Amino acid sequence: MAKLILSMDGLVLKEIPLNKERITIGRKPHNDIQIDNLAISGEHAAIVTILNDSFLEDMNSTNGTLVNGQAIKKHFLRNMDVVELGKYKLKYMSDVSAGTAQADTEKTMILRPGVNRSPEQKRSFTDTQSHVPKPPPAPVVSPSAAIQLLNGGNAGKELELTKTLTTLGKPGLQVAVIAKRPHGYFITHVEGAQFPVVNGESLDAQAHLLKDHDVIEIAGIKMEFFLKA
Amino acid sequence: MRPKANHSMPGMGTTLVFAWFYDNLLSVAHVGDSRLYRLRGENFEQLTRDHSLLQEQLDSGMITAEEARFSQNKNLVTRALGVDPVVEPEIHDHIAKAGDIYLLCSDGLNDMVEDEEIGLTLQALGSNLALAADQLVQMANDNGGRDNVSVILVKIRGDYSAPQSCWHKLLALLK
Repeated sequence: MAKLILSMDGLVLKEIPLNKERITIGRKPHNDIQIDNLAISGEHAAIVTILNDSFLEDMNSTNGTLVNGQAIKKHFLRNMDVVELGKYKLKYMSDVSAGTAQADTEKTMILRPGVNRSPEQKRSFTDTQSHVPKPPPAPVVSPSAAIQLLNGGNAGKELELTKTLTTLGKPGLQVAVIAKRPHGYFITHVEGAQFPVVNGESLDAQAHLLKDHDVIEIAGIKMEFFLKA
Repeated sequence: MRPKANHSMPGMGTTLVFAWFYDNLLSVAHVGDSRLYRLRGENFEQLTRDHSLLQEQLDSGMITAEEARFSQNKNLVTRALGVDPVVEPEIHDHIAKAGDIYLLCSDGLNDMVEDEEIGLTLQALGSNLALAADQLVQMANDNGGRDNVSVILVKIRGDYSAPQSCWHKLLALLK
């Protein structure tokens, strides 16, 4: 479950779980989070939580609501956002742990249409699902690489392999593609009767991992693949 | 998961995208968040609209497309097969043109690979659909592959108008 951490002058005052669809913040006692301070409006802001996402809304407060230093009217909260109301700070922490604890397959879930729709949100979600997608794993970055043409009119020319896919050759005649993947660069035949030649040997239809200084031949053009330090 | 009665039915249904090609047209039916995309020239477009909570939030302006990328509610569909005895698919017809490439996929692809990357892949590898399909699945897996990935690619090679009966030909002549 996501939560808010209320603090003032660096001192943590309270931890508030976002366990309700709508949590109100304000000076008056009926608010879910009451902050008894004159800089806070009676009804200052509200946080609407729909399953795993939370939205912050300023309720036309006198002194405004800031998120990460910017005044907002409505804001989609992201992990570690800092909400400021006067001197008070609320840090939003989304439920990252639920994502890593769950099973590794990410199943699509079904919401029953037409059940429990509140007029404002169309739906009422009092049940907080613990099914949070895992944050994407840190991408493994391949070292940068390039190919240099060895013959033909553009001999000496270098082409950096920055894109996920770089196609080489002449469409209709012979085309190969170099795919940049987390664990290296792979060359694969795309079209044409001739297959690419690497270090003098013709490839088959399978992807082939390129090594530093491999010499590739496509449509009569020779080129060298090399990794950049 | 803690399913609550009437709120959600986790993991008990599936999603569908279906395309029927006939007479230079395609009819597309879908339920849930499986998608159909079209590459026409350099223009890569999603032709189906997900039946999902996130799509409803986008439609109502509650969340922007940029914010949607960070939503934790990506996998909540509002329509699915296998939940109720009867389901209403959304059906649309589109005109097909020679050279078009159609992609039918499950959310395992588009949750992991940006639409722009998918479009570029189809442009680069459109002459070899088997390779393009493999490449798309590989990209989803390289990016973390959190779900199973289904990909179908269809390329329109030329005119496929339905053969007309003699009667229709005669009518056409008289027009």
